[in-house]
Amino acid sequence: MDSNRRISLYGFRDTDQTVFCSLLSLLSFKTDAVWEVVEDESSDVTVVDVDSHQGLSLAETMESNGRKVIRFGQYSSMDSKRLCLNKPLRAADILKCLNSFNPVENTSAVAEPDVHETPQQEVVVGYRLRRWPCPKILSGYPGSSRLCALLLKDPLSIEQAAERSGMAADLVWDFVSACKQQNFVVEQEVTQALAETAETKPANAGLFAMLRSKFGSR
Amino acid sequence: MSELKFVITGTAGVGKTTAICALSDVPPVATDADTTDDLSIIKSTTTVAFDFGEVVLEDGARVRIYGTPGQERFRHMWEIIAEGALGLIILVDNSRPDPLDDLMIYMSNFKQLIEDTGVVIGVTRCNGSDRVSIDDYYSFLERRDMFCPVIEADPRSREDMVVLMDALMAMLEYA
Repeated sequence: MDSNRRISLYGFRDTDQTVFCSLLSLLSFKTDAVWEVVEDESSDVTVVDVDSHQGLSLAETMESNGRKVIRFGQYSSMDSKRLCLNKPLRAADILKCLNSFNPVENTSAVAEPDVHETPQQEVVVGYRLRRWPCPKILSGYPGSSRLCALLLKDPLSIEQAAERSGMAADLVWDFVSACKQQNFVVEQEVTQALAETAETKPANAGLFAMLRSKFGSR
Repeated sequence: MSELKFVITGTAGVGKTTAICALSDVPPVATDADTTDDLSIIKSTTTVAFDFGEVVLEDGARVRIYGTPGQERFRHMWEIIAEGALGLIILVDNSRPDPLDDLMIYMSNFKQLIEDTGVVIGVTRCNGSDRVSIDDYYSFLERRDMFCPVIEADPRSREDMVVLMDALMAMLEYA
């Protein structure tokens, strides 16, 4: 059952906002409801960057007022009362958060993601990296090292790679094309589930994010 | 709270201490001694226990980057240094007689750490030594069912060392 939901972002850096909107668009066919990013306060859900005191304070106020909030931060952790997104943004985490909101209005119960549903599968072209790309390619795609790690390990479709890396599908495609030109890519068939379940968060994600920030390697 | 650390290893003279200098926020703590063997031809001192640098993060946390002694006679230190590390960088000197054999020595000795965490290989001194190409390294690893990034790197270059660290963290997070 589809329904329209509105989501607003607070305290986001421009890059995070761009990534969030891009992933939301990418996930549009997987979410239970149709989500639209709005800038006013009439939204059903607000995602708040809680890495600033102002953001954290706002999130607490909104939560105490009964507003639906997703906390977004370096060290956010999901518990039974709060929905959280860790930095860097990942498609699977966003999907999990959004699908935990029941699309039917005026229902107080929070819907559990349907993990028992057997996903449909299809065979598609997958891409595997033969080697780590040269710095010239990497520098053209910020954050592509995580994509390299994924594709060095296993062949993945563009969609799978986008979902797992948190990068937009068109960027993944551009990146793979650039690697193909250098003969760094092997193509092989992969089975793709149409509704893959969210993966667990990478260990030490917060620590590594700070190290990357320190090194200027984002 | 346990120590946050990464480890850099590789043959003597490959540039481990130099690599730590490139990344560290503070002057590295070194345990060097004068070289007394064949190594004295290429360097006057060598690491005998370990050396480490520190990267200070925005929240004040300190991440240490340890260098192991390169010479195999100090290998008893390797296991001690590797304990609890977050990941490993192996530097391989491509100008040595058999760099792939060198690589295998360190892959074997740090097998447990590699299995528990991850590894990235930095190949140094590639200029003028085309005997072993980067593709040869990948083929060598693939034949042993191993996969990890192999990246040409100059330990004197912070940029190159950051690429290695970034690749290592990506492997630890996503592979």
